[in-house]
Amino acid sequence: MKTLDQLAKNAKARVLEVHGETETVTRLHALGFLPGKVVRHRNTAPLGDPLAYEIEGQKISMRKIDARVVQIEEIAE
Amino acid sequence: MTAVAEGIAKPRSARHPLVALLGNPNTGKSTIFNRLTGLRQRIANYPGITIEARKGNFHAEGTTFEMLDLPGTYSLSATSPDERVVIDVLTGHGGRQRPDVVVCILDATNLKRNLFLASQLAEFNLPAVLVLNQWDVAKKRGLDFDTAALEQELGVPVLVTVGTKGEGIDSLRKAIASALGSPRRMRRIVWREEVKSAAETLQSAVRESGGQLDFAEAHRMIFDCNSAIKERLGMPEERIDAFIVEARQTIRHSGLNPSAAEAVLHYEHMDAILQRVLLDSTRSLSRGGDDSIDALLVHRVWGSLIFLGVMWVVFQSVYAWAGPFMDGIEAVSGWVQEMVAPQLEGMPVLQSLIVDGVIAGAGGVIVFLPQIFLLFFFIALLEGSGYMSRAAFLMDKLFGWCGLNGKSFVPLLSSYACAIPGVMAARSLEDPKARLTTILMAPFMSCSARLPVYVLLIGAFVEPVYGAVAAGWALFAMHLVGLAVALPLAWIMNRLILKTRPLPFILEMPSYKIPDMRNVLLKMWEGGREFILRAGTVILAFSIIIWALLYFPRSPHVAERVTAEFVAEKVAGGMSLKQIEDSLADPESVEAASLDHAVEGTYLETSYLGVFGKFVQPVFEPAGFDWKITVGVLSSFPAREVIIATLGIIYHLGPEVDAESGGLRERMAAETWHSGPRAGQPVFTVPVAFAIMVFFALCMQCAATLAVIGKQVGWRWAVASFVGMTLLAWIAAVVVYQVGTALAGV
Repeated sequence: MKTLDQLAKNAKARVLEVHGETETVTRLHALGFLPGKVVRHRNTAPLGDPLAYEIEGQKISMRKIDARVVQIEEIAE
Repeated sequence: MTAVAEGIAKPRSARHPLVALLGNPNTGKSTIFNRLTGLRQRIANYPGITIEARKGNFHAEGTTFEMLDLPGTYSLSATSPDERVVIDVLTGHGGRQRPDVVVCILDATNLKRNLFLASQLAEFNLPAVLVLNQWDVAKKRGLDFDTAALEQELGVPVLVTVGTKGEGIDSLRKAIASALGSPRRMRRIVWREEVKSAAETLQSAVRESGGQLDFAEAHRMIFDCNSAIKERLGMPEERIDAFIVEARQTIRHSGLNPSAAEAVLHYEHMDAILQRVLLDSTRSLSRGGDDSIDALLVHRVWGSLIFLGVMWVVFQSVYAWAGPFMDGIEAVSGWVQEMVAPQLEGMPVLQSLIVDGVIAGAGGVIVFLPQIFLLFFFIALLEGSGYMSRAAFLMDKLFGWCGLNGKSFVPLLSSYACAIPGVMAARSLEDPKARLTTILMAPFMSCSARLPVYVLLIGAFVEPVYGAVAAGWALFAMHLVGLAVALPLAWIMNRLILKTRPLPFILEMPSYKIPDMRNVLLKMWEGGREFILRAGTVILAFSIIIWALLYFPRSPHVAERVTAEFVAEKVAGGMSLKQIEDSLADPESVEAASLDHAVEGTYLETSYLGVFGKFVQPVFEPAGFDWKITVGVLSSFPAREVIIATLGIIYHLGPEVDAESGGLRERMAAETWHSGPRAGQPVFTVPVAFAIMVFFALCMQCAATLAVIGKQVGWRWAVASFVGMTLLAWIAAVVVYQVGTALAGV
């Protein structure tokens, strides 16, 4: 299963599930990381972490450890 | 924690209708608040936590309203005590006044996500007004909504505003007033039977255990992972958890994922509505402009360089640009002292209390204002423009490992100039744990008040022996000591002491915009006012206490005794009594000055603090401090830069010495132990000099910082910080002295 932290720069993916029962999951849901939504990896911080994603016309940054709970399937452009 | 809601919604005798302002971060919520209330605002005090919830008054249609600006939030899921404040207010928890109207500010450029919060709000069944802010930007991006249709769909008034230009504010005022007269509530989602019955089961279970839970709260507990409202039910956590597990099970059986169900249903509901009210969707929700700016500003090389440049400006402003203003304030306070002192001639105690205690103390409070104003100005600019979250993005990795996060950078950096604005700036951290850690680490950063101590000791004892290059490195190293101790300490604190889980560091990177100058100026004003009102009085009280400890008992015999000794010494030196008398009569003479300094020095030595210093000197013996250094160190607890003047007085040179002063350096170098095993040996060796510097680097010798910490995170933490840092400083000084001396002896 591919997770959001593995998405290459500028690649696009569809969210399958935000997995788990943690605060991270609650927050990501609130920000629109929901099954079926399309997400794109936009930026990586100079030290490799955190990562920034575009979803639903907004940009959200998160640490790799948080991105790991988002299960995705990659979409070809 | 009922204290959380305290002071927010306390019913008054003549109660004004309460309006709560709710909204996502970066929606321009504060701008609207400022537009409505102007300067009629204040900060509500939540004991123990540092969230900002501002209150203010405004008038509409002949009624005075009280407005509460709730912390910006993306959802009503309360995963931290701070976020719980919002729910506490909306539910009127703890017998507080429930809001009469909730105004929900929505960012028109990102309506879908913003409507999620509004949709959650609907569950609380409160009269509401929705505001689509940043309407101009939305238009420019090609977005247009049929607000009348949206109003129809949601069941409450929907207004459009441009907060930065004040457009739509008058209509908002009127809408709030009419919402009070004829309240309308938001249309709620029709929940599936399973969700309803899960919530009802939970509600009745809590009711049977003597608690109370309304429908919206039950929702929050079922859907939010580790909801922070659990603990306020006063039931054992395992019992609530059992109920929640059961409720979630019910929902799972209906084919929904309980963690995602709420968000999915709210988003579906709002998506459908948005489809119906969106007039112009020809242009996509493109962020093209922002992306090309980000390509530069968070670029590995260019982004880092620009970041360093921006931070250099911020640091310079606090470190250097504030200087002339601070000098000005000191000059004014010195001038006031000179003006007042003669008026109180003949009443030496009162004179000293007013001049050295009150005026110096008040000056010592006001002197921090330029730094606070400047730092808050830049922070408001960075936040208002959208750059702050990029800065946090760039820096997060450096701080994340020890429990801080990217937002700790600005507070810690400014603490290198002064910890006070640094501690105050830490309020921009949403995660309470990271915020607390940042605040506690801030005083470890080597502030500018430590510099004179380093300059004095390095100049006197390192440079003459090891040369200028070594002196430069020593100065540099001293600036890193605090940081090198603070980061591992933060790590330990997070692992061992604050056992709560860290919150995820998930940050919106909002669209870039031109900061609203009104907001920027109000933020500055607010920072300064809060410092004066909340910390100022405490700092003033500290200064007066320390003044008293240094002044009393001031027995008149001291002056007589010192004068007699002085005369005897001069006579033995071959001066005639007549000569001595003549020279003492002339206040400009060398003899008169040196007698004055001797008297002052002896007063200090016999003051309560001086006596105490001598008494506790054995404690500092292992660090190589004699009683004079000990008194100097103790008298520096209110403010560390005082050490220079204190040493001047102790060594009978008068208080007018500075760190570059040759006389003070010579005098210190000549100082020898009078008794004990080291009698005749110099007091100040290189290990002693470093032990003193390390002590100053790590010790919490700043009453003002202590006061600000106490006001921001509670006195318990201020005391812990004081005790912890003092202990740490002592241990480090002892280690440096013992190891240094051992190495020097080899």
